[in-house]
Amino acid sequence: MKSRINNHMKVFIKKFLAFFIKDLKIAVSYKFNIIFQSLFYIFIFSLLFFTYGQQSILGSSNGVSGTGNFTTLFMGFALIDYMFSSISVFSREVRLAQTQGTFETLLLTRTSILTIILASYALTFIRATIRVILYFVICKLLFGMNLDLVDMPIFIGIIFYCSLPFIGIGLFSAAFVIIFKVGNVINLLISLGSILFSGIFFSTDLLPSTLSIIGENVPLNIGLDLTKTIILNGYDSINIYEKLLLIGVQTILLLPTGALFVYYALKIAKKNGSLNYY
Amino acid sequence: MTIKVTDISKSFNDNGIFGKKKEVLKEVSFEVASGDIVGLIGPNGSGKTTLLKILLGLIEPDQGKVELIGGEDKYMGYVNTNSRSFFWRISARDNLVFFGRLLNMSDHRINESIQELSESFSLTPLLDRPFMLLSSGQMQVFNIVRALLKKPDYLFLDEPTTSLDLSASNNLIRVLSTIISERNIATIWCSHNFNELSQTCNKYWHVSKKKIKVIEYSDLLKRKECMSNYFIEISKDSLARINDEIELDVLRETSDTIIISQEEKTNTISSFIKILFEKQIDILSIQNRSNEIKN
Repeated sequence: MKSRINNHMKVFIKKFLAFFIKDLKIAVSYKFNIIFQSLFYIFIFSLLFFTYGQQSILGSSNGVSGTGNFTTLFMGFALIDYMFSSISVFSREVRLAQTQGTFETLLLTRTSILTIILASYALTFIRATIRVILYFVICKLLFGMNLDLVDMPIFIGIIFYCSLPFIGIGLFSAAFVIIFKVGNVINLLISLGSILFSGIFFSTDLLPSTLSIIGENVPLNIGLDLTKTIILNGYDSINIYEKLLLIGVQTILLLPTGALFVYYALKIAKKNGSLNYY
Repeated sequence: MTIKVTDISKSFNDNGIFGKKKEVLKEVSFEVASGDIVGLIGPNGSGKTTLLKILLGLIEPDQGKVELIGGEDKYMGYVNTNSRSFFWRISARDNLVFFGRLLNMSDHRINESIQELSESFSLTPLLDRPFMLLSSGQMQVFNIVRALLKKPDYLFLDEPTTSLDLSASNNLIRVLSTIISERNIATIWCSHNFNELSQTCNKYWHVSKKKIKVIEYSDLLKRKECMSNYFIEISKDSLARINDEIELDVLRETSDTIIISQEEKTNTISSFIKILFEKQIDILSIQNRSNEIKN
């Protein structure tokens, strides 16, 4: 039994690495992409610095003592990036495989649909991490952000943990694309809703009380609270364990349900003969 | 090793989920064993590709079952006409290595197989070229190489010589049939090209009216001459002179000309041409499905 599990694990890792190497080679083939992306982020952060950032350095601090809004904004931006990456990567990968015509061919290799979908996350995760490091460098060098390099590993660890429920939502989203092909409302609603209730751009205290309760349980908001508490205030609060547990529960609920939906969507598509339609 | 199909039926909605059900296959049963090379013929839309995809597990039948006798864990190679089923930004070799790894082959075995097959199909100089720079014919040959990469137990070929010129097509048929015979692979070969099938297959099936019918080689030769394998281009003005008397399928129209065929009829090309001559209709061109033009 144990050796069978080990064997399955070995095969999964081998296929996962195959996807990663293939995705990396494709990414590297777009040579100017990284330069254009870097320029884009410098532009975005300059824009944010001269709007939100200046106000905060002069005054309010959105609940974190001694810290400017710009640091909060940086953290929020990193969290949003991970959320978008987690939520959109699977549906994007399925859609790409449908339009490229590789979807059926990949399934014919007897690679499970979950392996195909999850393997696409490897490069996306690394790219999101590189982007967060890039945000950090830009914010630190150009705008003197109040965050140290030594805090980066724990910071990335927390935002990855907080993005786990979004992987589950991303699986729902992929299931939607397998059946309906376009018009992925799940991505749109969850992403916009999460940003609205996240407290990144305005405090959730400003929302009506019912919406405020929803806001407090949105993973993006919890993630922001956690990163601020741990990175800026230290680890002394008992509150962080509750929040970590809440994220864990959301992950346990959403990941398996999302996976089941993907299998169900695949069954429907095989029934309709629409696997490769786009 | 045998693939056994029992009472397979499949229908699709002809216009999305609210459309009417259209039955494509009805209670189809057959067996394909090692050493069988089955030539599958039939008009467009008769259900050949649907049948292959059911065997491959890409489409679920409404009823019936597909059994692999002689082991469940068998590999089925599939060749279709879709050159987009590769990753165009990376090289042909990288594509093959990627698919080999997904098939759980060791890197050593993948490289060995790539070398052997690329030599057989004369593809070695193209291996490290980005896939997007290959011609559609070359892409199609790589499609076949991918299907053979992990020595398949079953091979399903859906018009494998699409996009190939005559010489490349003949070369591919020669190499492919040698590999199939040497490895004793149970094969189903779909094509509209009768020459291709008569060179390679040892059994012939015809898909029509939702059923599969076994046909003999002599019958295949008759069908080769059948009107459904030819397209005839005539002037548009002359269409009215024949339309009432002969049932025709109009395939394509231009401003002056029209291309006709007879999809479900068993008239031979010679008898049909005779009728056109009798009606004094100018034939502009005759083309068969394997693109040999006889003016």
